Amino acid sequence: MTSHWSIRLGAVAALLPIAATAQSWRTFDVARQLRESTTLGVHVAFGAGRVSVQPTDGRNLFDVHLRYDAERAEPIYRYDAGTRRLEVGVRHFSNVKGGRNYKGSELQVALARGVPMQLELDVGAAEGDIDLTGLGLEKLTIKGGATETRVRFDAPNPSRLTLLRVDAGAAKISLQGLGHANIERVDGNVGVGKLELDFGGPWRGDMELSVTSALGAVVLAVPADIGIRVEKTSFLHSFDAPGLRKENGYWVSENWATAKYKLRIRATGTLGSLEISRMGR
Amino acid sequence: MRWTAGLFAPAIIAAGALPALGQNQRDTSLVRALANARHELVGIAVPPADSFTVGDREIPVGTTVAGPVAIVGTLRVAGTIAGDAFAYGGDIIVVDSGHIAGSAVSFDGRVRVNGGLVDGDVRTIQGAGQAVQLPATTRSTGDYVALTLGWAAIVLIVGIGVLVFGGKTLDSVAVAVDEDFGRAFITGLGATLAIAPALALLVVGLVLTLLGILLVPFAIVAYVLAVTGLITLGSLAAVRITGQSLARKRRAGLSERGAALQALVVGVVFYMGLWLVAALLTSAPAAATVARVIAFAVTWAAATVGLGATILTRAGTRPAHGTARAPIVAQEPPASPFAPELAPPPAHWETPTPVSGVVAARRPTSVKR
Repeated sequence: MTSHWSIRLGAVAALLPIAATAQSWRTFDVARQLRESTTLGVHVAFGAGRVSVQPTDGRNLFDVHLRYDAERAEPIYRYDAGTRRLEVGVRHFSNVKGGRNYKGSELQVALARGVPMQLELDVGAAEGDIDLTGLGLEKLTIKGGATETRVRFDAPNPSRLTLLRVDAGAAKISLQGLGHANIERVDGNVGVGKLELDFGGPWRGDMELSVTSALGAVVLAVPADIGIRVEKTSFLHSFDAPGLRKENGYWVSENWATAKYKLRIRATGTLGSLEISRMGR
Repeated sequence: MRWTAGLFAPAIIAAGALPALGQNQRDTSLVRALANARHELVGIAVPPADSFTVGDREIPVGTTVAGPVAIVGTLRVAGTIAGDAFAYGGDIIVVDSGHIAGSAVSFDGRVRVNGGLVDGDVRTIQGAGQAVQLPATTRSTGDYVALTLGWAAIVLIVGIGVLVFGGKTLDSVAVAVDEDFGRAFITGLGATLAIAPALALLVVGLVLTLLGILLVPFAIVAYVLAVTGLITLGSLAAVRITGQSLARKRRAGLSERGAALQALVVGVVFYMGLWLVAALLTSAPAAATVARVIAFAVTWAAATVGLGATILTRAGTRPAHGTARAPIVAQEPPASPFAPELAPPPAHWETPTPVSGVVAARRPTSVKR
């Protein structure tokens, strides 16, 4: 009798962890055929898991694949054909028992090339792999929370990106190939995280960069043929820019006066750091 | 023959019931899928589950049907659907000539657009028919009981730690709670109201000194720790005094420290007992609310008095004004060995040395002869 009870007790004990971590995975795929190419507004909000954004040459304006645990989150999908605005992501329940295990949760968004776009990415604590190669971006906002997000541009942006806004918070956000992005202005904000901006690629105009870092690090890699001028307002802020000299209150590169394209940097910081390195030397 | 028929009868009945059973199960999972997928179906008017027709269907070339079209099975669209299309447990296939003027939605299947047109969304939902255990948004009685017991354990552990490492400090605060209750309560009330303004003043003061800006984060942390420490010390003193008054009978043979521990345990049981009652009443929300209000009020009063007493005694380092640190007890003189009439009168005061001083003794020296 005692042994029967111990067996039952053991079985219940063995099942408990399974019950505690019960998950109901669901997938949701949604697409819309491409009919017209007026500006599309896209807002992606995905707080935990893995998020990827990529371009597509198919027949669809967008193609979304979402995998989520129905016991911990609910999907967000809204598309307004009138305003051409797409909202997609998940909303996590804040008071679910059994921890916050978001492993396996994923969002893949494919967006049509050649459509002018205003894109907002709010990746929270999700791990992001964002490929914006060839997308017609007019405005881009990236907000990171606590993990790592990589963004890359491997081919020219057919539109003029008037504003790129990056809010790194406590995350590490890395943007590669910004020369392709045809940017007018970049606003970067770092809390305690790290922001890496690689300005490689063919430039088509001058660029303004404004960066604010409280305790975080900002690392810039700029092609050697681009003229750099830095206006620095900081307090106990580390600044490392080999090859720049002070002139009329600004830090400028040797080729500032002669360079075809120029990068004007305004850096504000308290205890963070700003590091500028040159590429192609 | 009859017995054979009798033997197979249940099987025959069961076989007849099977399709109905399958239909019921399918209906249940369809209803569940439609309910579970409400977020995936935002913006689309979904027909009720009983309007889904069972079996595959084809919309032939050149024909137009009014939407919505909802089926359990696979839907092949070569003509036009003037509205939305839904398929449960099957695919929606839109061939070259096909046109869906609304959205195409498949549950546990796929939407395959092979050259046709879909004016709305193409949506595929997998797994919506499974039963979902909805997230627990409210705590159960067991949760509250566990929470209360957990807190009781924490308070007890912290209390024992303070008894062991700061017993005298706790004694001082406890004496102030006991003997100067009113003043301690008013002081505690004032201190509670001043916590936030004092922190603001501290931060502003540091910022004004410019160099102090760097110290602001450390000052905030230190301030929070100090306030938490004061409240904890005061609350433990109040708990101890409560326990002392409840357990008036001190067990024989208990040392001072043992008595203090007994008082602390009784006090913790009393205060956490109030919260435990509230936890046990969770299933009766009105009663639980009343019990929680009472428990909160009593706990708050104890913490406020304790905080006040901690401040009055400068964190237990000196007695509060108007309170004696320790009662002075006049000692009885030892029993005299003399007969009462010969015994000297009791001394009302004594000094270690006579007032007139002590005659110095001459050091013995060697005498030369």
